[in-house]
Amino acid sequence: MRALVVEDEAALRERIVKRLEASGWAVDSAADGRDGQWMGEEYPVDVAVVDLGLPERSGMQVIRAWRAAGRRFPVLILTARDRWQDKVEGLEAGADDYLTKPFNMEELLARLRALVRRAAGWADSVLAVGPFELDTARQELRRAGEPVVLTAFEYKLIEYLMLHAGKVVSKTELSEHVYAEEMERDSNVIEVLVGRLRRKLDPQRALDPIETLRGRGYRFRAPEGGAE
Amino acid sequence: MNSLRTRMVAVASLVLAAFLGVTGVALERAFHDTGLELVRERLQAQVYGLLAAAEPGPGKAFSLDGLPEPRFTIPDSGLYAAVKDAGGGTLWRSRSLLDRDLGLPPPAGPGEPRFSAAPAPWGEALFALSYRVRWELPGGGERVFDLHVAESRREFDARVARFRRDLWTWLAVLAVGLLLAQAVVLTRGLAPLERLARELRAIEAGKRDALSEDQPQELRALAANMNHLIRFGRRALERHRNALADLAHALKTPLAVLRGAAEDAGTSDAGLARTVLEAVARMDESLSYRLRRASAVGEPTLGAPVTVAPLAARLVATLSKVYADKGLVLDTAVPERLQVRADAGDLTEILGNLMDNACKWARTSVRLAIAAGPGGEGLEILVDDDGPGIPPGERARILERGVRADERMPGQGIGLSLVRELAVDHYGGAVRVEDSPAGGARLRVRLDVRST
Repeated sequence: MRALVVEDEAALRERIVKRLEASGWAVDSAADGRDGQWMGEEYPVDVAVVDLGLPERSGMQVIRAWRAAGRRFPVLILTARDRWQDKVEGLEAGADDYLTKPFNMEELLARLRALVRRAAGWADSVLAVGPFELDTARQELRRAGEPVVLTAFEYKLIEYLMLHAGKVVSKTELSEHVYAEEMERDSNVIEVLVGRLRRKLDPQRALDPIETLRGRGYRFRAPEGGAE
Repeated sequence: MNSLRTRMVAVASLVLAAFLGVTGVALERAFHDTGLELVRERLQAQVYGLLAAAEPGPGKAFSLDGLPEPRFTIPDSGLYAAVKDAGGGTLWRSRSLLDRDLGLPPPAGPGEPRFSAAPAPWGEALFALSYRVRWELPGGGERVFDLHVAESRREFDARVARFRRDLWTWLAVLAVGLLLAQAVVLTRGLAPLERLARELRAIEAGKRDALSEDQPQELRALAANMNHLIRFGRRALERHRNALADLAHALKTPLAVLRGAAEDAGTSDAGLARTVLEAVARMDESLSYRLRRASAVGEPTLGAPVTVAPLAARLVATLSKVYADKGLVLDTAVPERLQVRADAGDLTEILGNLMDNACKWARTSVRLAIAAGPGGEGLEILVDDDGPGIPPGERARILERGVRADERMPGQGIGLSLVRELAVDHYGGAVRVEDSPAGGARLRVRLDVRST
C-alpha cells in the first residue's frame, strides 16, 4: 500500500514515515501544502495523512483540490483542532476520518488500514476469498484456517491483490503500490515474486487463486458474495 | 404605551388643544367687548341727536323738534328714549315706549354718562345710556334733565352667538387639519427610525449583514457605529477562535512528537516512557478542555439564528464516516424549520460531543431528537443509544470535569463534561443522564435559548 504523509513538523513527519515503512507501507511525504497537493495529484496514492495547519496551502485546501481533480483515495486528517466544527468542516472538505494530536501511532496505522480496506469495498478487517482469509489488522494470511508464512514483500503483494479481488491489476500498478522508490520497480522481479506467492498459496496447484491475464496483469479470484 | 409616536401625538394634541382653546376664548371676548363699545357709541350718538332736537321751555315744558331716528316713533321697535327732570318726573318719552317706564336710575352727574345692561321692567333685555344735561334757558336760569336711551340686546346677542358658532366651527376645522398635518409629519419624521428598527430585525433574522449607510444625518453616526460594532463582534470572534486554533496547533504538534518518541522508547526505558505518556495525556486532555471551553461564546447579541436541522445532518454525515466500521444506524428527528439563537460552533460542539459519546457506546443505533422546549421556551436535545447505559451511581460523576466512567473508552471524560459546561454556563441550561427506551443511556440537554 502506498501512503502520502503531508505534515510540516519534521520530527513528527519522519516518525510517521518510519513507522509506516516499518509496517510495510510505501510512503511519500511532503512538508507543505503545495508539494503535498502535487504528490496527491501525481502519485498512485492509496491513502493520505494530512495535517490541517500546513504552510503554503492549508490541509483543507489541499483535500478540496484533490477531490476537485477527481482523486478519490481516502484521506485521514491529522489535526490539533478538536472542536467539532473543525472536524465537520474537514470531513466535508472530502476527508474520511480524523485523528487529533497527540495520537497513538498504532491507532493511526489501524485507521489507515481500515480506510484503505473500506475504499476497496471491504466492510470487515478480515478479507475472505474462498478458503483464503487475510487478517489486515494482524497482517496474517490463512488458508482453510491454517496460517501461511509470508515475507513482508509477499504480504504487500497479496494484500493489494486481495483488496482488489475480482479486478485486473497491471504489473505497473502493482509495483507502483508496493515499491517506495521508482528505480526499484522491475516487472520481472514482480513476475518472480508472484510466482513464489502462487506456490505458497496453492502448493497442490488446485485452487489457482491468482490468474494471469496476458498483457493485462493479474487478478485475484473474485470472492463469492464477499466484497462488491 | 411607551412609544415615541404615542408620546408625540399626546403632547402635540395637548398643546394644540390648549392653543386653540385660549385663542377661541380670547377672540370671543375681543368680539364681545368691541360689540359693546359700538353699542355704547351708537347710544351716545342717539343722545346727541335727541339733544339737538330738544326744545326745553321754562317750568316743565319740553318738546322735541323732529326726531333723529324713525324707530323712536314705532311702538316696540327696540329703540327707546325718555327724558326726565331732576326729580324723576317724566318730561317726554318716545312713542316706541308706549306708556311704559324704562325704570332706570338717574345718572350720577352731568358729564358722567352711565351705561348699563339690564332688563326693562317689562322683561326685554336692554342696553341703556343715561345722560344728565344742564340746560341754560334763554331767559337766564337753567334746567337739569336726564336723557335715557335704550336699545334692545336682541341683535347684539344674535350677532355674538353667530360669531361664536362660526369661530368654534372654524377652530374645530383647524384642529382636525392640524392633527392630520401632525400625523403626516410624525409618519415622515419617524420613518427613518422605523426603517432602522426594521433593519435591525432583519439582521437578527439573518437576512441582512449590516444597517444601510444612507441614513438621515441625525442617525448616520448611530448606524455607522452599530455597523462597526456588528463587524467588530464578528471579526473579534473569528480572531479569537483562530488564535485558539493556532495555539492548539502550536502546542499539540510537539506533544504528538513527544508521544511518538515515548512510544518508540517504550522498549528501552519502560518507566520513562510510561511517565512521559501519562504526562502527555494529562496535558492533552487539559489543553483540549480549556481550548474548547474558551471557544464557546454563548448566545450571540446581533447574529443570525441557526437552523438546527442542517447542522445536525452535517454532524450525522461526519459521524457516519468516522464510525463507518461500526455500521451504526444514526437516526435524527429535528423539525426542519427549527431555529435557535445560539452560536453555530457552540451548538455543533454540544451535539458533536453528545453524538460522539453515544456512538462510542452504542451497539447498533443512536437517535438524536431536538425540539423546542415545553411552551416554546428554550431547546431540548435528547440523545439515545442502545449501549450498556450508565448506572445511576455514575451519572453525576461522568458530567464532572475530566472524569471517565470507564477507562476503556478514550476521550469519554471531557466530551460530556464540556457539554455540561457549555449548556449550563453559556446557555443557562441543564444536562441529565437517564435510561433510554432504546436500552442504553439517554442524555437530556436543555438550553435556555430563544427558538422559533
